[in-house]
Amino acid sequence: MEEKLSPVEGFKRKSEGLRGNIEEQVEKVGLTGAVDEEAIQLMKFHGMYLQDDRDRRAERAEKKLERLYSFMIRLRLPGGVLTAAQWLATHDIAGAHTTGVIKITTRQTLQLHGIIKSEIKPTLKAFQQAKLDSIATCGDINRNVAAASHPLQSKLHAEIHGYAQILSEKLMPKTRSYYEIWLDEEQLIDKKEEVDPLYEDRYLPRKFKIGIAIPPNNDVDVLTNDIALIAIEKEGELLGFNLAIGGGLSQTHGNPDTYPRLATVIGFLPKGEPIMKGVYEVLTIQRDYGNRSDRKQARLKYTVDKLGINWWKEELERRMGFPLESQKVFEFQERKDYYGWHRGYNGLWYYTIFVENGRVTDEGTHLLKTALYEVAAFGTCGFRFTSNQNIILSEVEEKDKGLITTVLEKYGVIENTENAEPLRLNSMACVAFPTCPLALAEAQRYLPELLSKIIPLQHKHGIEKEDIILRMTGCPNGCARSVAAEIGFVGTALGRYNLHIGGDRAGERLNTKYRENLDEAAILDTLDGLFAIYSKHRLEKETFGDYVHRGGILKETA
Amino acid sequence: MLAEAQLATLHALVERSSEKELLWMSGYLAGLVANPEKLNGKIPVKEEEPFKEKKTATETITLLYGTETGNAKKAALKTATELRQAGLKVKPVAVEQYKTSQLEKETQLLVVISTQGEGEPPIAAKPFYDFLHEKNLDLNGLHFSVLALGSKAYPLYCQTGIDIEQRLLQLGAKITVPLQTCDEDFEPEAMLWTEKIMHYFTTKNNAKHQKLSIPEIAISTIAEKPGKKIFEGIIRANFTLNDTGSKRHTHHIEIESEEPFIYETGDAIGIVPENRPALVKKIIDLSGLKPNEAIAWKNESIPLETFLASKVNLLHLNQRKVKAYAALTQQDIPDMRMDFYDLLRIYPPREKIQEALQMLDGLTPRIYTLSSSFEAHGNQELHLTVLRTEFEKQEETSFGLCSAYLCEQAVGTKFSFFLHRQKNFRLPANPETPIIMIGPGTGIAPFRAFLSEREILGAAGKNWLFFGEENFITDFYYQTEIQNWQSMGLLEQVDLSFEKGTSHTKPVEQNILEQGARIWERIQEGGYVYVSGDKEPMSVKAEAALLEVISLHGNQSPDGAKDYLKQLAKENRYAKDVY
Ligand code: SRM
Ligand SMILES: Cc1cc2nc3c(=O)[nH]c(=O)nc-3n(C[C@H](O)[C@H](O)[C@H](O)COP(=O)(O)OP(=O)(O)OC[C@H]3O[C@@H](n4cnc5c(N)ncnc54)[C@H](O)[C@@H]3O)c2cc1C
Ligand SMILES: Cc1cc2nc3c(=O)[nH]c(=O)nc-3n(C[C@H](O)[C@H](O)[C@H](O)COP(=O)(O)O)c2cc1C
Ligand code: SF4
Repeated sequence: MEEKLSPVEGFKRKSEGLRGNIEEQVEKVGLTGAVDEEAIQLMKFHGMYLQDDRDRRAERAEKKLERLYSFMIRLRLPGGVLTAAQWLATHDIAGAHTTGVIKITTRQTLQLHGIIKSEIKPTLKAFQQAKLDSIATCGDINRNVAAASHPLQSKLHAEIHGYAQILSEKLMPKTRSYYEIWLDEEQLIDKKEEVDPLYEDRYLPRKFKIGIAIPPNNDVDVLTNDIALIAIEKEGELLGFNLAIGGGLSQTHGNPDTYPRLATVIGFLPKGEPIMKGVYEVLTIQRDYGNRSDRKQARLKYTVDKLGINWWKEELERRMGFPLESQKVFEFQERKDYYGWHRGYNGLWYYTIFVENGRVTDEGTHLLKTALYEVAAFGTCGFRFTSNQNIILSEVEEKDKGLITTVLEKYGVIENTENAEPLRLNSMACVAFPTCPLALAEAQRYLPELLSKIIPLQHKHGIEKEDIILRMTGCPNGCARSVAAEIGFVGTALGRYNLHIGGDRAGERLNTKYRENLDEAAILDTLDGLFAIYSKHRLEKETFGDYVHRGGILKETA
Repeated sequence: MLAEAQLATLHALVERSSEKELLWMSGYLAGLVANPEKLNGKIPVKEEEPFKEKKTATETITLLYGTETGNAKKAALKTATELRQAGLKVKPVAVEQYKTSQLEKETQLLVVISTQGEGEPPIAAKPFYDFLHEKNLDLNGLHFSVLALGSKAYPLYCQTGIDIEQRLLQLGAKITVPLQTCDEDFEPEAMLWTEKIMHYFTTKNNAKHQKLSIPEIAISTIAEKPGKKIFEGIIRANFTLNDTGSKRHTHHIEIESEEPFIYETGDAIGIVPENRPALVKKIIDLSGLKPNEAIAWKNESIPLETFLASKVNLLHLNQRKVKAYAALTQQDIPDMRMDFYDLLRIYPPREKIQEALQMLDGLTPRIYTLSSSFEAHGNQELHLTVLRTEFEKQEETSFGLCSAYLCEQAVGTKFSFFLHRQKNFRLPANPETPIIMIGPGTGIAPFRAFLSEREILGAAGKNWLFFGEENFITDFYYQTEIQNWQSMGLLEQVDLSFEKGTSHTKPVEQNILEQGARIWERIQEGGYVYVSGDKEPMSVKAEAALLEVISLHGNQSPDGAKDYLKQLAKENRYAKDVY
């Protein structure tokens, strides 16, 4: 631990409860719409990222204008649940202060982009009015807790969501700085009053994610989280959770010390106090042992591999004060959203809307944003977001179903959902250009178009009905979990992607890099070839991801 | 034989004159008839000769001056000093401070006035000018002379001075020394005029002992100077500084002068715009004339098309022109500004079309302050910062003639311009002197030039900029340059005023007030204060705020503050480039 701390560590420690220089940087009349590095890092903990419109960089530079800076705000929605009234508020806020597009993320929450510095406070105040906040949705801290989204699955659903909520709250930082800075709450005289036994003044070495799945559906892609909780039931009753640690997908091109990793199950903990304690102590161990000098080695996955599973189990048991039970048997079969109307175990109705790449907006005859606003205005349903970037209109009573259907029909939502091809319905792309500063290639703006060229290839080879999971990210950070897909595209440069293949359908096996730096023509050509072999040689019901392993295709990787 | 008016004048003159004066007059007139060449072919209409004995050497000469940028004031004060040294009693008064009720009581009046706009008086002189033209005064007892400042670059050269002389004559006043016009370099002509005035008073006061003599100084001892030197340039860059979504349309234009263009940082250039081909065509069609029909204008014969495109102003004719057109075509036309095309359309001139065309005024040049620095950008690269002027006309958005023309020109286009000196708008000679630059909107132009210059020269003086526009995000002109200047320490402070895109929406004047103590400190250190950009309301409000700052921090009465600022202006430490 002699190594020099990374600069972010310094910012955190002297921030006095994540206050730092944020207020000064945001309030100051400066020559820039940006804030400085310290404020950038600290504002993440408040759920905001400084970005700029990368499409406009060159043009603005020519005009002698600085980059078009703005902020992205990410909401804290444990389990991805929103009331209709909150949706209306979000819609209005998006209209007033942002680009207007509401983005559903791969972790079931909402992001608004394009909020200029002076609009941050009004935006957060408006969210507060709707009982929404963005605390700890970014930064080196526990993020939005993801949880299985469709109540169709199981009676456990509501209980699981209770855990998502409780965990989210319990693992929030204790500081009141969010309220002071953004909502003008009166300042605490003595900031020492805000003791934070979990995060202390250091927070975690890196971002931290928790997901909860209810087998057999793994729609939350639970093993990609730092902590994966797998609900274990017996005769419809929740017993507790298998606890898995060390998931994370990011890698850096050209840095072999970085790698994606699925979480390793280390045992089972009963529901209630034991599981809460277990999760909490995983965080304290990561807090104490995680790498704080190299942010590229700081995620839990590296701490787990560095110290070993056995060491982890022992240390965790020591800290919990009770032993881990051995893991219970479970089986994941799919990672799916159930599109259309379905009835939940509780007798209420649920409509899952396909939202391509999570972008809620009005386009052409598909007026999704308008439709959702009208539906929300009825107040007869709730809103849930899935880890596949879709929306579930939830808890609809039989009598209200008709009216909602009419509106969805009218604005082309039903058509867009029910006529979409299986490949499209099972695909995801991350944000990438123009807002993501890390993007190397396009993703959500490009994937729809690329799919329209891949789908004909499926038809050509008669595999168009297959639910192949295809994902694209603009860089190897893997925000749309591209390395956990049967077909993954990882951007390397504008118009170029590494092609990864061979993930399984349930999310228990990562894919493998197969070809590098393909342009569109090469992508289509390669897939054409792969589809041809697959359609010819696959076993019955064999998925694409499984076939490429069995068929030996991955032997000749890039 | 005499016209009625002339006869009446003669009778009045005879009535008021003594026997001795009448005798002298008869001799004078006889002499004139005998030696007309003595007058250089000019009949000295109403030019007063020193025969009024009532006047004494101690009478006070009132010297009124009307100025926009200070030249007329400078000339007037110089004249006053000279006359005083010659033992005359002179009272210089700024025309806006002059009690107009005094006018009928004056006996000796000198007027030094510049022309602005399109042949209009300086703003401060407008009330006096209007008073003179609207009131039916009796100025029979008044003797006067006018020094008119102007620029040959403008078609209505020295118009205000001319108007004032004409009007005073109409009201019965008498000329002592004929109107003296002067171009941008006004000093030599102003000096000549002063000498003539001096000569007039000395000969007048010694009249008893002197014979009639026409002033010895020839009317034109100063050689007729050629017009403005015209330069040719090629547009090398032309782009909008505003980002999409902005309400404004301000262009950064880079021009390469074909020959070295020697100027001082802070200067401007003048450009004579051309009328739009579509408008020219519409007018030709309406006129019933052929495009190549010859139009006689200013001793030239010009094809109609060229005449309309590049010689005369067709837009927004002033009331005077509209009245003249009404008289010419014998029609009732409301007293308002109008486009020539509309006049022709609504009030057809019929057979008077030629005359109607000939009465048009020449095209007025437009001035643009250079946003380049002579030291930093060299003698062939000129930069402009041009706002495309917009206004509502017949419920449609129209654009200013010259600014829109400039903003549209493609890279590679050639056009002509001339140098417009701004002698009073200069960086301090001492590179260490602090400067405060108040320049929202296109007012940034000379300050970009100043900062570029101070940067390249390594000037150590502190630089402070006040800038503002509509929207922080889209309208922060030269933002990255300003950011660089701030981070390298060249800009000590920048105060911004944007209406949108920021939570700080204080107007410029409020920023000035809030920074009062510091501004005062800089002034105390010998600092210079500049204001550039819109005259109204910006520069007026900025000036009011500066006065308040001086009054508050310098412990001055409001009048004291005004005097203080005047003194600064006199030392060129408070300078304006406003329009
Ligand atoms: C919005 C979202 C993608 C989407 O299209 O839905 C997203 C978007 C961004 N991610 Fe992510 N990540 C999102 C899910 C993920 C996931 C998937 C997941 O968690 O299930 C991953 C892979 C799993 C993991 O964490 O390993 C992921 C791994 C990253 C990383 C790599 C972290 C690492 O361990 O190195 C970064 C970069 C970083 O943190 O340095 C990153 C950073 C970013 C940033 C904030 C870029 C930045 O750091 O400035 C992206 C903002 C883009 C924009 O303009 O909105 N994002 N990010 C997802 C938001 C989830 C949420 O609601 O919180
Ligand atoms: C010293 C000085 C420095 C200057 N520096 C700059 C500078 O750096 N940058 C800059 O952008 N400008 C500068 N200006 C202003 C510039 O000279 C012009 O006045 C300005 O560009 C407008 O000219 P224009 O030909 O585009 O508009 P014009 O056509 O002259 O129109 C001006 C106004 O007249 C009215 N008008 C014109 N035509 C009509 C019509 N047909 N009907 C009704 N109303 C009409 C409108 O109100 C219009 O806004 C400066 C001016 C001065 C005196
Ligand atoms: C915007 C503008 C318009 C002008 N219009 C005229 C004009 O119509 N006729 C003219 O003779 N001079 C015109 N001039 C030239 C000025 O009269 C000349 O610069 C004079 O020296 C200014 O004197 P002042 O500083 O006392 O105002 C104009 C100058 C400017 C800046
Ligand atoms: S995967 Fe890369 S490009 Fe895509 S959103 Fe995440 S960080 Fe940005």
